[in-house]
Amino acid sequence: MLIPAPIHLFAHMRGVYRTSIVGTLARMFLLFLGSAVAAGILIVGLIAVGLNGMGA
Amino acid sequence: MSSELELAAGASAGGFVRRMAAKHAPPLGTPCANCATPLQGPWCYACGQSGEDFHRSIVRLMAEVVEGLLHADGRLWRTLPDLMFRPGRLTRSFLEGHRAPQIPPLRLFLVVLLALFLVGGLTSGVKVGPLNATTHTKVGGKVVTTTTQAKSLSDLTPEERARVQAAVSKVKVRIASDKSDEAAGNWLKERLNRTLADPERFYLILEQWSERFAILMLPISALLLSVLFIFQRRFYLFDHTIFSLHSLSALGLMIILAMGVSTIGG
Repeated sequence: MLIPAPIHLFAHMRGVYRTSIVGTLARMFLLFLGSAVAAGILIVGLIAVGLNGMGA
Repeated sequence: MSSELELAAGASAGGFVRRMAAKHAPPLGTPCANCATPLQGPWCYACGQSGEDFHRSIVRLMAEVVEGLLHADGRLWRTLPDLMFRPGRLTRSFLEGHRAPQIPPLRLFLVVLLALFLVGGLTSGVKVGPLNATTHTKVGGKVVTTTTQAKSLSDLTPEERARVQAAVSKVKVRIASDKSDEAAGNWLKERLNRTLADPERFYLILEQWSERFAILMLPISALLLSVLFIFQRRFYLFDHTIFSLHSLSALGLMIILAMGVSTIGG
C-alpha cells in the first residue's frame, strides 16, 4: 500500500492536471500533509463519538 | 458548487434506472399510469414518471438491481483497468464529456465503499498482531532499547485492568490553559471506565461511525485540491470532486486487495 498508492496518485495527478513533475510532487506532499491533519481530526472525532456512545 | 454535485449525483442515480426503464418500456401511445398522457418513450413527457412495468418476478428484479449496480454490461470491465492503470486518462475523459463508456464516479465510489466495509467486516475476524511499544533508556552511557507488547483491552488480566482503571481515575482534562475542567474530566473518566468494562461495544460504535466518517474524506480531498490549484482557473471544484472520487475509489480497491491478500496469506 505504501508504494502503489503514491505512485497511483502521482500518475493520476499528472494525467489530470498536466502539471510538472516537481509541481506534482510538491502538491502530493501538501495533499499528504492536509490529509494527515484531516484524518487525525476525524480519528479524534471518531473516538469522541465512540466515547459519547458509551454514555447512553 | 452544490448544483454541480446535485447534477453529478442525479446523473449517477438517474443512470441506474434509465436503462431499466428503456428495457421494459411499454409500447408507444400507452397511457401514462399517473396522468394518462400517451407515452412517447420510456418516460412520460408530461409528468416525468417512468413508464416501466415492474410486474416481474422478484428474482428478475434483484438480478436487474445487481446488474445496474455493478454495470456488469461491460462498463465495469472498461472502467476498472483504466482506474487502476490509467487513472489520468479515465478522469480526463470524464471531464471532457466522454461519460457514457464508464461507470459514473459517484456510483463507483459508493460501490467501492460498500465493498470495502463488506470485505472489512468479513476479514475482521483476522487476528491483528499486538502493537509494540519501544522505549529507549540510557544505562551507563549506553542506550538500551526495550520493546514491550501492548495488549488490547479485552486481553487484559484483572490486575492489569485494575491498574488501567487506577490510571483512568487520575485523568484530568484541561480545556483552558491552566484550569482543569472537572465536569469534562468526570465525563471522560466515566466513559473510559465503561469502555474498559465493555470494549466490544466501543469497537462496535467505532465500526458503525467509521463508515460515515470515511465519506467525509471526499469533500476534504476536493477542498484540499481546490486550495492546491487555487491559481489554476481552468479547474473547478467539480473537476476536483471527480478526481477525488476516482482517486479514493482506486485507494479503496487497493485496500480491498491488500485485505484479501493478507487474509489468504494468513
